[in-house]
Amino acid sequence: MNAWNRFWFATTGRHSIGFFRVLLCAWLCADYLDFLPGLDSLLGRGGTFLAPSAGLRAALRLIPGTDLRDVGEIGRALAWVLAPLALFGVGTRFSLLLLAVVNFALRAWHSSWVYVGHASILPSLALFILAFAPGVRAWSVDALLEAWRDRRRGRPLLEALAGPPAAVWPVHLLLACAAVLYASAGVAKLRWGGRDWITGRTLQWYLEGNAGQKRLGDSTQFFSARRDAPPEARFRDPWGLDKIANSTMSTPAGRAIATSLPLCAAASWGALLLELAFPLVFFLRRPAQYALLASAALFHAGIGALMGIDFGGWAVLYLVAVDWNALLTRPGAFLPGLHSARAGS
Amino acid sequence: MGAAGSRGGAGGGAAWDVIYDGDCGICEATRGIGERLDWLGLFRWRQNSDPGVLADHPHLTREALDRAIHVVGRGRTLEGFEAARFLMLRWPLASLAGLLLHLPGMRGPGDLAYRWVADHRKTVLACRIGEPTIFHRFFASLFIVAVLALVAAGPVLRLEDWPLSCVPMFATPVEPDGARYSFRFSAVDARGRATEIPADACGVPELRLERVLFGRYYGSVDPGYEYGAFPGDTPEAFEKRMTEFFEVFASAAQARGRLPEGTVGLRLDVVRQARGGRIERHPCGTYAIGERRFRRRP
Repeated sequence: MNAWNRFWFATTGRHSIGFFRVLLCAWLCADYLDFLPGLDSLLGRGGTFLAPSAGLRAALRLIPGTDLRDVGEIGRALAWVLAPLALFGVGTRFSLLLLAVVNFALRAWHSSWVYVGHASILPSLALFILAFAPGVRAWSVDALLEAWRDRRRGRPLLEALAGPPAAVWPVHLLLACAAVLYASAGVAKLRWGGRDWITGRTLQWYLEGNAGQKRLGDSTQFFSARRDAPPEARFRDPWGLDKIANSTMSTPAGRAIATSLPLCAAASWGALLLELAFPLVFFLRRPAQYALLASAALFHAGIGALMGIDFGGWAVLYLVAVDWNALLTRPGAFLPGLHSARAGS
Repeated sequence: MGAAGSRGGAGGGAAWDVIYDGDCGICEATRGIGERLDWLGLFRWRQNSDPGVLADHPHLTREALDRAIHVVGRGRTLEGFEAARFLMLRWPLASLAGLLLHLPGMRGPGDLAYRWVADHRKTVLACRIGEPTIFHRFFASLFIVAVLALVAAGPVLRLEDWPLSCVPMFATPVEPDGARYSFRFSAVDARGRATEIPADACGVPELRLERVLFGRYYGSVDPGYEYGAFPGDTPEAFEKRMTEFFEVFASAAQARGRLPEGTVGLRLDVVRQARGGRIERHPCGTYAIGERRFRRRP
């Protein structure tokens, strides 16, 4: 119990979840410039092929008389309004909570039927976590107004904006979610990709892929087959179509790497080690922690360059570990340990 | 506890001074709420560590201020539960609750409850400023466990389209010749002219359409695969599903002027990297638009 409390509920003034809110919402606003207009190709079409996820449909049944497409349009309009409100911190917690719900619903719509936009998963989760996080009102218009009301107390404005020390659990929870996702992706590569992943063959196969025109995550869809499937199961085609391949966009850099199997093997090993080692972020010393987080950010930059998949939102998440309060108020002393605590509760 | 002497009064235009523990999270949160609810501007909140407090209210002691919240003004001093219900009665939004707390019989239990919270606010409730209270810890723990469980559910249960996680993430076994398969559509009009039609002819982006086609209609040879598992599948059931798919596809494509009357053919192409990118084609079947029927190509 003590270890649980120490890990999640140590208080620290050295993390600045409020400023992280600004960074995440700024990224979200930028992402929305592409994502929300792109929903045109989905929202106008409902129907059999693009019905949103079953969970979303079930939720909408609770509101009788609603048309699914109207709800989508309303959600999109709300997202345009809520993202800047959450960014600037106007009605901060309410804006964040509503934005998290609307964002999740729109992403679920975007991920309709057999497609999941993996790149948006962790940022969407982060919005939910932020909505409940202590200290999230720091660096907000709300905090500014409160500081104005409290000005007679004589607190410096920057200190009032940064807010009091808060429990560290939102930072740790975000990184723990990332750790679960990375570790499970690493295990999956060993379990399902196996030797093909280790030798670099799988990565090479993906990097060699012919690209389609990218629009709203669209590209040519490939499948894999199992030729040892029993003959009676292969009545649809002679090859035994088996699984849906992940979708990537082929890039010139990716195709260049794909010409060398050793390079693909090195990249495969690097990805695997990073994914499996990420949970160590909680146990490493400070420089190693930051090296690991920087490696993860570089990893996603590499995916963007080689496979054309934008995981920028994941890279933004690692900025949660930076002590922005200190950076803004005491430049030069901004690298905190993830466990740095004021009170060892 | 109750009303005291008539010394002291509030300043700054407010009728009452509310003196609270500025190092206590619950008290600080109460102040935040109280200031918002004080529509009549009756109260001025002051921390008990404020050196001016004892000067303005010399009848109070440091020990008393550490023990409970105080409301001082207009010749009265209230503390603890009595101060709390006094405040609530004068906050318009909380006045009904304040009224209820003034009913006969409320004083005893109210005092007891207030005393317990006040005495334990820095031990059991652990609410020094910035430190999470026991309630915060409890609900945050539930939240943490729920979020981690939801995230882990995808990998643990092998739910590939779980919207909160992402496996298997490129963990694809590759055939020795690097084969990659994809669907292609073609149309044959009434005059027998064949043309390729793009997968997005029905208005749905190609990647999504082909995933839907495979996962919901075509089917996988792996009866355990999350997408396209049709245990005990038969050629007849396959043709029935594909007919359903093409009914929607063809009507949407025709409505967009992308498909003439005639038939639609579905083809599976395989590109074999190890053989210089040679493409092999397999016609899977055709859908007769007029007849509304898909026939599998044996």
